[in-house]
Amino acid sequence: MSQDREMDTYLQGKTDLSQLYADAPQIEPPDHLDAAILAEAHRAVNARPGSKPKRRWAIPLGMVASLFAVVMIGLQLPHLLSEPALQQAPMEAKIAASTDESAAAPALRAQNERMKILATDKAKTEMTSNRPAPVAAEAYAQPAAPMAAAPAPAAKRLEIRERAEIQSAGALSKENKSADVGGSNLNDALESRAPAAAGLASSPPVQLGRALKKDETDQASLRPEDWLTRIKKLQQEGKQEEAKKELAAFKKRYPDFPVPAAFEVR
Amino acid sequence: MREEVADEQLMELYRDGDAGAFDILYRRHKGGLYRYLLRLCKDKGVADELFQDVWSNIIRSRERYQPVAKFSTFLYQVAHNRLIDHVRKTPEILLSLDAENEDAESLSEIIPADAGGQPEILVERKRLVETLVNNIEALPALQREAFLLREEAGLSLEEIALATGVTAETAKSRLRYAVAKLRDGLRGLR
Repeated sequence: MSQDREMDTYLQGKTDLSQLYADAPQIEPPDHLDAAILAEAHRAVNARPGSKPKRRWAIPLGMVASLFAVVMIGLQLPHLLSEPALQQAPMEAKIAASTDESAAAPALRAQNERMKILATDKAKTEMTSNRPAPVAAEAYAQPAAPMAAAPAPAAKRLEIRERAEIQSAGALSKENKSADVGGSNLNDALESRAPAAAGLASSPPVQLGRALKKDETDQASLRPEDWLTRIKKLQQEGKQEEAKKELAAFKKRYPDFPVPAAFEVR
Repeated sequence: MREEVADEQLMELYRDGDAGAFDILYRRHKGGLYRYLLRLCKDKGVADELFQDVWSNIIRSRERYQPVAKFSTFLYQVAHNRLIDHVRKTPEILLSLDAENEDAESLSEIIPADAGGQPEILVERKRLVETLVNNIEALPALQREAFLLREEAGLSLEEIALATGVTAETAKSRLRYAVAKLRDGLRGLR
């Protein structure tokens, strides 16, 4: 009981025990500890994540960039989706779309003429006989699907007429002329994926170059299935070298299109 | 002006990025905490290490600080836990902490001599203080801790209980034994 009273007195701070203890030397931590701890405290505050300079422009910039990307994709998407349809559109439409290009004017006129002649000849052929049109000697050099069935005489007449017109026009641009120089390079021709009108504008005067350009136009306008059919046909006719080149061009044009294994082994 | 701000408010200011608030807080508590650790572990090197660890812990945990209790209770709770961790890692310290009459280095040996006042009174007073300090060192560790928390940190019984993780009754019992032993030791001198 007396201990409890003594305890209460002590807790009230009324005893000399606490006063005596207060007289004990007040040992302090060494100065180097003070400095180290205070430095750590200040460093911690300065290194706070919240105290970092905020990049206020980061979020708006990110949003603008995202919006721009979405708009660009939105603008490109319809074009990308309609690309195969454009490739199969009649050649006249492509030519008409590019008639304002003065440099291409003579060549385009020639192409128009050629289309008319082909159409006339095809009609005549169909009227006289129902037999399928013979395959031209340069099958891979034939124009797009509608023109693939064109008889050889018509193609020959076209060659002569076009050459005459192009030579007389002489309206090829410098770029086109420089392209003509390399026109005999098969790889260059195949790699070029210019639209039909552009291809016509740069029609080379050299026969081989023309054939290659036609081939390019054909490939661009062919659907993948039709193109493979044509390759298959070449293989069946024993034109393995041409078929191989066609296949290479096909793979370059449609890298993701599954090619049957039968095409590879031959 | 700022010296009058409460500990808890200073800690909140420091939590919110005011480094100057920590300086005040540190100045207020560094002596008591250091003596608490030194008189408990009786080793200056260990006391230095623990002292720095405790403050580092306070600095690191500032983001989570909530003034639910007195800052001093929070500080000595951290110190108590750090001391317990250290004792568990080095059992020889535990022996010295629990020894009733450990013949360790006397604290009076590291206490600098007092140079002021009347010589006779000072000598007598110094003798009493030395006896008291020696008797404190001789107390069992838990009773010693309770006494030091009361004297150095100014904690109440409930706060001592909170800081050491025991009930208020246990804390009271420890403190009562400590005070009784120290008083008995001083009575013999008078």
